[in-house]
Amino acid sequence: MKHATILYTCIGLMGVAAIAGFADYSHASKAGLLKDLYAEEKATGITFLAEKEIEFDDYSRAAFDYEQPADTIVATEETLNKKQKKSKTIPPPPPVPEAPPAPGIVMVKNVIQAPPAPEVPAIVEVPAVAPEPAIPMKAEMVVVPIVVSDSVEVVAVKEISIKSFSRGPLKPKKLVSKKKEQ
Amino acid sequence: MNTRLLTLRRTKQVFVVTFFWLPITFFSLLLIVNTIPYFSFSQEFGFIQERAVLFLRPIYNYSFYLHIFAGMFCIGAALLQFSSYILKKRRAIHIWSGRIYVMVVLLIGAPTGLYMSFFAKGGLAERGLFMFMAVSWFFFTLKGFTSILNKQVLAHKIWMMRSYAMALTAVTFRVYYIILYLFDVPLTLNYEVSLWISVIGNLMVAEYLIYRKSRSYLTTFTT
Repeated sequence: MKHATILYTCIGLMGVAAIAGFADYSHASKAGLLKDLYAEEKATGITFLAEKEIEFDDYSRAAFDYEQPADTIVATEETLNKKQKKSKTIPPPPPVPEAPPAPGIVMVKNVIQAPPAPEVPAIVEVPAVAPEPAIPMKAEMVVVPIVVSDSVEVVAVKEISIKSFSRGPLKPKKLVSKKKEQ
Repeated sequence: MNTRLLTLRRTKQVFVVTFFWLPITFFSLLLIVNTIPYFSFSQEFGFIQERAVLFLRPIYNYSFYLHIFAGMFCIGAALLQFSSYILKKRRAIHIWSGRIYVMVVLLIGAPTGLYMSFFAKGGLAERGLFMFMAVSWFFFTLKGFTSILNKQVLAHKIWMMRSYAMALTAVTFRVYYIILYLFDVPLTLNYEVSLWISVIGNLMVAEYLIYRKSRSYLTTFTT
């Protein structure tokens, strides 16, 4: 009798679950809610780095004047400060005795070596030219909020500092990333 | 029995424990440990955030927490069920952990799983698979329970192996998911493939073990 009660109870529960599930499902499908049940999946780890790098490219070609959340700037600045402190605390490596250069390197050195500079007169008259207005680089925007890992952050900062500053003036165009456009 | 056969048998036991039960125990305990933080009822977990719309419904919310609560006990209790030492020397542990397993599955785990399967991630096939899992888990456990009530020990073993295979899909799914993730399989495809492999694979392994265990019994039909 006792076991029969348990059996009927659990079978009843399964029935209730099936009916409730079916009712809710049909209601959701009628209301068209089934497509929005799950949020878009976000890649984590190293793929996240790749995504961000593409966005940086976009920003380096287009608009830069967007407002960054203050807390992320603070966080990245803090991490950078920590790194600087760390780098200060670590003693510099002992000077390595210069090894005898390989033949290939010697050739490269020879190629790069600049010819001796010609003699320059002591006083040179330069026409008065108004200095070009400095392009607002907004260096603070370079510190981009990637908080994946320490190493990733360093890579991102370095890349931005090279790409964005080498492409001249930045026109405010659009903030939409490639992904969203697609 | 000569010493060579004894050595062979012992080696086989060590092999089975090392490559079968140790990983299962480890990943089962890992699953239990990873489930505990959910009882802070925080919404910060990725699993919950992904299903934020679903978690707005109280019935889904309760089902989820009941399901993971049941799952913890179910996985933990099931680990004790297949130990021959416990079965022979500590039969009370086997009986009580078995009761916990059966009650938890029949009254909580399977019904809540069935309700949530209607809104499972993936396409219609995946939803159908989740429904199949819930119903078959319930059915196998129920058969195992009724067979031991009727003193049918062999049938009880067989049905419980099938039931445990279904319960273990929670563990094997995560293992396959991580492996495929390491192979850079896209996340949605990874989810679906892992799900199918875990369900079909577990059932196939269970059937193979059942066949091996009852081979001597099955051969009596042919002679």
